[in-house]
Amino acid sequence: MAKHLGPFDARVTRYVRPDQPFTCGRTGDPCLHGPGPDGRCSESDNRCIPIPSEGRQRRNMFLRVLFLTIGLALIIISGDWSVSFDPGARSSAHSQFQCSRCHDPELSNTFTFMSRGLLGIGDSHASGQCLDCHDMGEYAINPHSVSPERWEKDVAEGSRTLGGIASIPCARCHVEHRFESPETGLNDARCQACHQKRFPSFHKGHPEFGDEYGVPIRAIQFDHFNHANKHFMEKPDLAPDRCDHCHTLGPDGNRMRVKPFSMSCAGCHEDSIGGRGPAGKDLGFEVLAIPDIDTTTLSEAGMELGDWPFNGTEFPESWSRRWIRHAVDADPSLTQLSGIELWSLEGQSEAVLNSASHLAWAYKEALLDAAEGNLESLINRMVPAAAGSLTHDETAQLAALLPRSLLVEASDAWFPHLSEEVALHRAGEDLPGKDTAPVAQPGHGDPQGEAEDVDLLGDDLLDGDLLEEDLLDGDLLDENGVDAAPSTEAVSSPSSINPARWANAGGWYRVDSSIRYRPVQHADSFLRAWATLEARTGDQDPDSAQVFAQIFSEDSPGACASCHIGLQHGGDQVRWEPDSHRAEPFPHFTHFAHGPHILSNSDISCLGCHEPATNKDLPNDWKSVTRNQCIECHGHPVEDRCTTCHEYHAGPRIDVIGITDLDILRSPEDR
Amino acid sequence: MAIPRKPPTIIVLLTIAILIIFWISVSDADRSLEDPASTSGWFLLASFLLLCIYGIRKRLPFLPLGRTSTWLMLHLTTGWISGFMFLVHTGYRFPTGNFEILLWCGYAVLLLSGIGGWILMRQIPLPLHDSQDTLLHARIPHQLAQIRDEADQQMKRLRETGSDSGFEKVYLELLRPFLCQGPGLLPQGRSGNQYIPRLLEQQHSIRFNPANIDSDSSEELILELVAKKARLDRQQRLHLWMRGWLLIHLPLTGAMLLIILLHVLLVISHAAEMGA
Repeated sequence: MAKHLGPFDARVTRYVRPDQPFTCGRTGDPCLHGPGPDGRCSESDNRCIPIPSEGRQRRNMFLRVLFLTIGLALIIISGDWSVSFDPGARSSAHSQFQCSRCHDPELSNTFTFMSRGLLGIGDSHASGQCLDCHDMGEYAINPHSVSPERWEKDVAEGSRTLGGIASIPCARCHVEHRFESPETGLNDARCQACHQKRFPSFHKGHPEFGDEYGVPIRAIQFDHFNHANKHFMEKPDLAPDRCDHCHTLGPDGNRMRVKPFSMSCAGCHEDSIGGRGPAGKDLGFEVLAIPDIDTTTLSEAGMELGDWPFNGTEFPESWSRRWIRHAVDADPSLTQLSGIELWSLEGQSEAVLNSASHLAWAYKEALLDAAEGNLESLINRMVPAAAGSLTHDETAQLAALLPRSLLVEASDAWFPHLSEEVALHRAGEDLPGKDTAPVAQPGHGDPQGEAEDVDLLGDDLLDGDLLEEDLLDGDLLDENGVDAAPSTEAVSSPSSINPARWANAGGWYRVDSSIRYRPVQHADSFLRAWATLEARTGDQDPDSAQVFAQIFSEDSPGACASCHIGLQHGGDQVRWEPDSHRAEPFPHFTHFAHGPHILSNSDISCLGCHEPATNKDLPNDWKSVTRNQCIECHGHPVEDRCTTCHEYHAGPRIDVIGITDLDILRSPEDR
Repeated sequence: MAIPRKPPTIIVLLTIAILIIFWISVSDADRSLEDPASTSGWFLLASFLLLCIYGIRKRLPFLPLGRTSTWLMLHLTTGWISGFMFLVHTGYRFPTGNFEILLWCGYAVLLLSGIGGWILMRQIPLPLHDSQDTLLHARIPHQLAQIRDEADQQMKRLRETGSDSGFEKVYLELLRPFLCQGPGLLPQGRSGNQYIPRLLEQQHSIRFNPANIDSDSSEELILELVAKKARLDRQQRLHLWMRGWLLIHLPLTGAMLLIILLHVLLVISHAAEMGA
């Protein structure tokens, strides 16, 4: 019998006490003692069926709801894992992914998921799975995907504070399972977690733009004012009247681009590059050349060289020097030829004469090897050592279809008995005594050239002044670059044809003891390939600077340097295209979409942001774009969030494509 | 227990402070590239445990831990704050996984039952005391039994006097079943008619004309007992509502405590690995 707090008698207490588990079922006339704790009537005749007290009912209800909820939870958990713990829809791009693509495959089992969770082992999904497809570069999970060096530099400059963030997993911002759609959680507040120079808005407190904003480092040199005030005044029919004559919106709809050369510059500059204008005044680039060597003195010293051309050419440089360099490098004694005039060896020591003889034979052997070998081996001897193995395309561009017939013709002209002489030399036998008078070069390979040929193509005729004034000026070349002079000599006698004039459309030709190349057109593949190669790999090569300088000197054929200023020898950047400053270097933190501005109905014109510079000391002929020019719209009627102009990921983004294995093309048994 | 109409100043200040701290913490977590749901989750757990403490406090009335009304007000304000934290934590959206749905629905029902209880506790006490025969809840069953016995006695006396004019049939078929039945959950009559069920009133009027009843007669006494039973039924219904919501609120609290702890453990272990 339970102990009651008071007498269980309604006639005394007038109400039923609820502290007992059961109360008497006889509400009109309850028993004196009431039911026991087990719910049985205490009277011997079981007068009533005791009912649970209110407290007991609450307790029962509590247990029922508790067990019901726990049971419901167990039923849910024991179901399909992906349904029980469905974290939400995936983005459309990831909709076909299985959970195991990003999560630990073992977690697909509910028991494993629960047990590992309770044991604190957890999932192993991380940014690595994202980066399998989204290649964000080497420093993908670094803040802004930039290198630690760049990061430290920016922190040192005070543009941001570290804020203790060493790496930022992808999922911090890119929430894949967020109910209906994935979200990218980058907002102004998150930017200022690190960028702690806080300001309320773009128009109030945002730092001023740099002096370079809107006037990037150019890859093409173009003087707008000089053209407008001078050149276009002289040729008003070619003068553009609007910016979009040369500039256009790029295919991405954001960036402005310069129209191709053929649309923007060719009207005036095409001829000069192809050789019909002032830029074609020179004889092209001397690629392979044979130096003059004093064969008489060497012969008197008992060092027979056999045939040797004489044109008054000094020791060749650039390409030719590298062509023969391997022989020079192999024989240290040749270094003593430095500063020696090879065409006059009289009075030199025997050692010098020996070195000169070795050098001469090196030229002969190299030429024979080139004529009997192949184009690829010739080009490989002429590129910087750091260039490594070249692709077929690179070799083809560097060779520019140099014909073997030209090499053979040059060989026959310079060294009529080359193969016999080299064979004897390699066998260690003396050359038969003969007249070692130098072979005069008429320019067309005739080893027995007449004196008038020598005179015609000798120094006095090939100097720049004469070529400029007579050979290549308007009266000798018609507008198509074909000889217009009614010279019966040029027509009747091949020896009288000037090869440089003949090749005025560009390409290979031979003059005297050199093989030369003349640019064909704008973006000439030969010049472009060599310039790019020398710029990228030539910083350790002793002859590379000369090659590069030859291409980019102010008076070089093709006149590359007149416009292209985006290449530096030994530099990291090779920027040919006018817009190439946008492609490199990374990172870019700021972007500007020209499209919405110039295609809108507003009155924004180019001059709204780009003002002509009046100060000629500025490196650019346009003033930089200032913040005030943007404030006129942004921050008032137009949004001014950080991400309106700034990118978070400043590194390259190269998405990896899911590629089907080509095993599908094989027969099933071979797979 | 009547709920104080105005919360104490300390409670108001505490509520404002908690809300400010919560909002700053969540914003700071978001700004610091951390998961704001994690921060709001910890706040939500803390608020839930604080709400549970009130139940423990009620079981320890002998401890000098402040007035019960203050604790109740703290419980109420924490409940409102917890509802706000719950919405922030869930991103104002309905979840997709069944386990999360159970968690969401359980917490929502818990909050709604609390709000419903709060409304009932505010609305019921006043009408409960607007009658002259208000009784303690525990005394009502005994009082109802007495009414039933007395009505039977009156009917017996009426039959003995032989003045039955068809009233006995009405009593046995309509009035006595009413005197024996429970109060029900929903109101059945109007205050102007002493809360007598409308259906009973209509049938009674059709089969027996009260205008023929003499005052102080047994029929009149029986009808008064019926009216008293109707008023007690109303009291019982109000008591049922006032106490009944706890039958949902309290058991659900215990169940949610278990599910929330499971949720916290899973989140800690699985979400903690999310990183580089």
